[in-house]
Amino acid sequence: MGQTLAISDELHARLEAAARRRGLESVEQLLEAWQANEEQIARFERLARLWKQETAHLSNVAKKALHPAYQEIIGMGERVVPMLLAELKREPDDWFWALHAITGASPVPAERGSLRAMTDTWLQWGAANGYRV
Amino acid sequence: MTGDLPHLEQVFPHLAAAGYRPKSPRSSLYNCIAYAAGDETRKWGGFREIGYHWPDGAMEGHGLDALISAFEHLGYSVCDDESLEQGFEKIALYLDKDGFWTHAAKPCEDGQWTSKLGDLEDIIHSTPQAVAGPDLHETKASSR
Repeated sequence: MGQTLAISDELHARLEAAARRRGLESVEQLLEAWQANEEQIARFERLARLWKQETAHLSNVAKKALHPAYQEIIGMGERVVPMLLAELKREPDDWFWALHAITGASPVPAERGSLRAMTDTWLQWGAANGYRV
Repeated sequence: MTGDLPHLEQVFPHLAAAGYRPKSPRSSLYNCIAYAAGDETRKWGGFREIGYHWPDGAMEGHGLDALISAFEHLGYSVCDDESLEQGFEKIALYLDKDGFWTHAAKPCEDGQWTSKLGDLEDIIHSTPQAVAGPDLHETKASSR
């Protein structure tokens, strides 16, 4: 069942402008896009939490990356990159395979190995490629 | 020797019976391979392209051959078993049923063993078998 929300003309105009900037035709489309994004964020957070719980005892990064939750996150595609970068910023972890698999980028110099340095490099890559984290 | 870390005992089924105690708190900055090699600053990942460390010249991969190659580049060579011998420094290497290397453990001076368990704690354990996972297929020992 839908809900009705009264908003000011000024706020409606701002939402219309935001919709146009995103190539959308109406405020309704903009709200639907936001709702879809919220659902994707919730899905990502659920999968990320599950992956962390079930692989924390593993050392082989390739084995960790083959966990079904990690593979599902990779399958979410480019739209999950901002979430991965935000999660990496919040708590550095082995998200580098996923970022590499989705974007094709390899910004970390080989042989680095430092989790913090790898995280910083990916966050810099994200900023340089238009991802706001 | 009781460690009282149920989250570890849950995933390492032989641990409680074999005996263990914690050595240092959780850290995701390094993994068991790095720890066995004496490096507590990096993750050794088997693949350099992603950015993880792996010894120069060592074969890359997720299998036991790559892990053996990494330790051969540190001066180790495969030996018959993990029994401690005067004049040799040994490590135990672990492989699961799917062919992935899973772990490395190293001995302490007192004859016990020590391991870093994934992103979890470092522990002291009585035998190499104490940290064998449920899907352990095989262990190898290397010495130098």
